[in-house]
Amino acid sequence: MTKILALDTSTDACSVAINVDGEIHEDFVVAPQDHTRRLLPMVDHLLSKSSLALRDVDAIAFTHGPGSFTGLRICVGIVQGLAFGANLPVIGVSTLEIMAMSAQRLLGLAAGTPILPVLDARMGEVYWALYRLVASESRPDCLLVDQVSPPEDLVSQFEQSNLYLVGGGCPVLDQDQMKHFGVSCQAQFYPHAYDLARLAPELLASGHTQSALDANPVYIRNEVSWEKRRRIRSQ
Amino acid sequence: MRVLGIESSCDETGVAVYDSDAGLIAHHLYSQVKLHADYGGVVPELASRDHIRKTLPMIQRVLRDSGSEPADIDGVAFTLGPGLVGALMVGSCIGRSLAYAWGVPAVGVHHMEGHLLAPMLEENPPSFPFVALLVSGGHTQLMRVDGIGQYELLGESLDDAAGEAFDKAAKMLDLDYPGGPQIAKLASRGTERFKFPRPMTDRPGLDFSFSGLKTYTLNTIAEHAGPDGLPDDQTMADIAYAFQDAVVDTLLIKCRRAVEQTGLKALIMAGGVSANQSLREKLQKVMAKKGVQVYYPRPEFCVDNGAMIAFAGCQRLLAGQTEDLGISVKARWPLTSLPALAG
Repeated sequence: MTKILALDTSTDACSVAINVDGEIHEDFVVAPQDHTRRLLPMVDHLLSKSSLALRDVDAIAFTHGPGSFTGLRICVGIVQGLAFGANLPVIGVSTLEIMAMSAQRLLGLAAGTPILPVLDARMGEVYWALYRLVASESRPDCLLVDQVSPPEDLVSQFEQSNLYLVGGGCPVLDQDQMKHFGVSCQAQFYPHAYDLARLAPELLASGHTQSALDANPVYIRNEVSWEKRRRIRSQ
Repeated sequence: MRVLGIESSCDETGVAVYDSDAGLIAHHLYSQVKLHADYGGVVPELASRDHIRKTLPMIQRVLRDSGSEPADIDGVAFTLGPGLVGALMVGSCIGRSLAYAWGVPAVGVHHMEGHLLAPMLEENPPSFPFVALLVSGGHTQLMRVDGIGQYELLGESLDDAAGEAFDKAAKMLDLDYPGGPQIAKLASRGTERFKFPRPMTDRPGLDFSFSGLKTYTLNTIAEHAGPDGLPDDQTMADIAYAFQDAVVDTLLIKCRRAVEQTGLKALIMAGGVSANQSLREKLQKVMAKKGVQVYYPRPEFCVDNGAMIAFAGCQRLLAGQTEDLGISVKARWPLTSLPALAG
């Protein structure tokens, strides 16, 4: 029996899911700026609903990013504490991949659909990646890995094409840029821990685990854009 | 009771284990000062990114150093505020979830209460009641302290905190962040050439104001500036001396008034600025004349640290105070709003 605890707070949504041998329960809420208050009570609630103690779990899965910097650290911080305290391995997964899986399940998209999850990266840019959906129980194929770019660069990557856009990054694209993709987008779309809990047993089985000490956000945007001070005299 | 304490409210990551019987048994501090120096101040996003990398490995190390197994830890304390929201969230999330995983209570600690109680980690701790001078980059306050959580605000800065004034003056003098140690170093080569004002000492009351000193510093620099906009090296040192002297003297005058007003015979000083050597020496001298005993933490516990959080948290946990599973960090949080501990 594989038991997974899965957490996501990388967007305005906050969700926790537990997978007990294929049976998945999820608690999902859209609660901007309220993740620290919500997340741990949700974990506790789901565990007790499943009659599980934290130490009964085999691994803790989390979305490592991209996403809101603060949101990612809330999730990673909680996961570090839980996993270190209960001596459990952790599994970090791309937020964008989970969005692709959530879209497949919730929007009923067919296998073979190319899907472009996009998140608002601020500063007029988007985080994005390209996946192709495969059979609904499997991991989508990653065609282009997680990256950050201005919308015009994203558009220039593709010929006129029928890609399915999902996620809070859609409004960053203007109307012409949206038309380029030819398919309406789902901006009000969030990653769900349900799908993380769905994916994690496969990753656990294949050894894609880390120690809690190595659990860290994957920000994608790492360049330091803060202005350094200028010294007048060298010392 | 053995408590793990975590501090991450600004630019230091501090972790410690305090035991109510054995005292402080392990502590470790990681300062991000070098990380922020290039920017002339703390960059919140960089601070948070560093905390999330450093905190858990430091917890592992401190547990090992203290010879503690997880089962030996009876509670977890973490700084809940005040401070940088993103930075506070890191330590709070890790601390709260770790306590949950261990099945022990957790408590969110007020950062300034940590500072205020830090002198109690020393061999000859003060006993209540006493006057406390809290001087850091974010706070300049005089408190009457009758017990843990029994705080009466006597006076505070109406604008910049003393530490903030040091930082700003340091920037004007082309010195690195944090400004306190830099100004003190430069001032050690300075002479009594300038006399800066002692703000708000010409009227009664225990409030402070340091923003005028900043302007005075800027004007003095401009009056003596050379082609690159800065005075010659000796003048710079003289300005640093005059600035430090004015801040120290202002703090001394208000401390003297506070002990006169309260009639208390003990004064503690804590917070980053309390590491200033000139302030320590002069305060000691002034208070000795009045028969007042001065207490302060060892220099490493004047700056932010985990030991003070573990200690303050332990006191509150012993009194039965605990934190819910939901975490609400507090960027602003008046010290006087804390509940008093019985006894």
